[in-house]
Amino acid sequence: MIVVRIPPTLRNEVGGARQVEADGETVREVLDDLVERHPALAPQILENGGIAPFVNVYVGGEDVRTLDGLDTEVPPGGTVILLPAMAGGSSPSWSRPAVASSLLDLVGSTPLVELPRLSPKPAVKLYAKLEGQNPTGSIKDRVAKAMIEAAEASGELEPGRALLEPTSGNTGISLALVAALKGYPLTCVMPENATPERKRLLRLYGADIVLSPAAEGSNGAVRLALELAEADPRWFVPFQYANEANPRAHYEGTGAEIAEALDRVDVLVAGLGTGGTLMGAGERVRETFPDVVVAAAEPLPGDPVMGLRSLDDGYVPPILDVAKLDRKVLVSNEESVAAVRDLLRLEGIFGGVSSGAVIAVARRLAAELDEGVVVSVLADGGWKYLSADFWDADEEDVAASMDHTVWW
Amino acid sequence: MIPAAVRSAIAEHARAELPNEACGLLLLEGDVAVEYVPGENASPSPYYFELRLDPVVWADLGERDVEQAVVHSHVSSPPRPSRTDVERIGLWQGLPYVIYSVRLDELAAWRILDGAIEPLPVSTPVS
Repeated sequence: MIVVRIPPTLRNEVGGARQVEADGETVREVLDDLVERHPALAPQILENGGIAPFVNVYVGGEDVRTLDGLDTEVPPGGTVILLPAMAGGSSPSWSRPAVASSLLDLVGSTPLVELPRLSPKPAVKLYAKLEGQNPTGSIKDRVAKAMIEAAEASGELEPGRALLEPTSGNTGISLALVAALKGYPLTCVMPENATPERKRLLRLYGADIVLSPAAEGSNGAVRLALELAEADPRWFVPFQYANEANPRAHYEGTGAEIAEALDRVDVLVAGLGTGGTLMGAGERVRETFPDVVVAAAEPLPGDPVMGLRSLDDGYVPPILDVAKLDRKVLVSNEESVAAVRDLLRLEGIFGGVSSGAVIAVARRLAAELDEGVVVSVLADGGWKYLSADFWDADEEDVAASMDHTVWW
Repeated sequence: MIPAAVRSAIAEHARAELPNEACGLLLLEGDVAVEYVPGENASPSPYYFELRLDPVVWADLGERDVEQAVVHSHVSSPPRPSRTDVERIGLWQGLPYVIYSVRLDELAAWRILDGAIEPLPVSTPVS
C-alpha cells in the first residue's frame, strides 16, 4: 500500500484527511486508484490523461515530471506527495521605473500603440509593440540582457571571460551595451560587406570587430565565430540562434506584456529571424488567448529583408520550432518598403524594414478578419537604415535600391 | 494581520533575491501570519516565479494546524496580482495571496476566485 500525502488545498476532496492510501506500482496506477477511492480528486489532479497543470507529484522527494512522469515507479510501501503548484509573475507592462539605477532596468516594458490608419477595417484593431523604444533601439536588448544574465546565473560566464557573437545587426549593438555595463569585452564577427554605419556604431559602443568573407554571408560569420571559440576557451558565445534565454526573454517579457495589456488577441505577427520572438511571445500569448494565430513574417527566398531570414535560404535556428507557427507569410522587399513608408506617413512611426514586413503581414491577416485584435511586434526603428536608398526611391526602383548590400 | 517580524522576513528575502522575484509560503493561524517560509524561485526572473520548496518539508508543513498562503515579490510593479497570477492560481484559488513590491516596500493580500481579484485587509501592528 502506498501513502499519499494530501496538501491542505486538496483535503476537502478527501474528507479532510492529511494522508490517504492507494495501491499501485507506478504513479499512474497509484493516481488511478486514488481517484477511484476519492472521485472528487480526479479533476484536480488528472487532466487529459496526464497530471493536471496545477499539481505537482513527488516520489522519493523528486518531481515525477523530471523522472518518468506517470510511468515513474513507486516502491512498495513508498510515499507519494501531492503539492499545489504555484507560478505567477508581475505585470511587466508599464513597470519601467521613473528613475532607473541602470540602463539595463529600462529594457522591455515597451509601449503598445493602436494603428487606426493602417487597419483595413474599423472592427479590426491593429496594435504595434514599439520595440525600437528599448535602450539601444531594438528588441534585441531583451535578448542580449537575458542571454548574459542567464549565463552569469548558471556560472558559465564569469569575470575574465570575453563575449564573441556572430552578428552585424541589432544583437551586436545590444550585446555591446550589456557587455560594456557589465564589464565584459565583446567581439562581433560579421561579413566584411556589412554596412559601414553598423561597424562604426558597434565600435562606438566599444565592441571589437572581426570580419568574415563577404561571399559566405552571415553563415560565414557564424562559422568563423564558432571556430574562434573552439580555439580559445576565453570566449563565451551567447549564440542567440540556439540560446534558450532568447525565446524565454520573449516569453517572460514581450509576450507577457502583450498578454497583460490587452483583453483580446486574435493574431500576433512578428518577424522570423532567430525565431525567439515568435516562439517565446507566441507561447505566452497563446496561454492567455488559446485561439491566437501566431504568424511569422518571412522574406521571400533571396529577398534579404534586414533582420529577417528566409528559412529557405538554409539555416534553421535550433530554438525555432516551425510547427509552433500557425502561419508563415512571405513578404517581398517591395511590400516591406511600401508598408514601412505607410507606417511613417500614416501613423508617424519610423520603423526598420523588418517592421515593414511585419506590418504588411499584419494588414493582410487583419483583412481576413471580420473583427478582432491584431498585434504586430516592430523590432526596431528606421534610424540605423537611414543611408539606404529605398526610403525615397520610386516604387519601381525599390528592388534595385536594396540589392547593393547585405542587410543583416 | 502580519506581524512586523514576519513582514520584514518577507521583505528581506525579496531584497536578497533581486533582481529576480522571490517566493515562499506564509503560515497563518486564523487571520494571523505566524511564519514566513522562504521558497526557491525555480524560474528565476524579474517577471516570473515558480515556487519550489523541498516537497517533504512542504508536506510536513501541511501537518501543522496552519493555513498556507503563497507569497511572492514584484520587483518594481505595485503589489497587485497580474493576469499571469490570476491564470495560474490553480489550487490556491480562494486562499489569501500575498504580494510584496520591493520598490514600493508595499505588501498587499488578495483573494483570487473564478478570475476575480478581491483585496484582503492587511495590518502590521508596530511592535
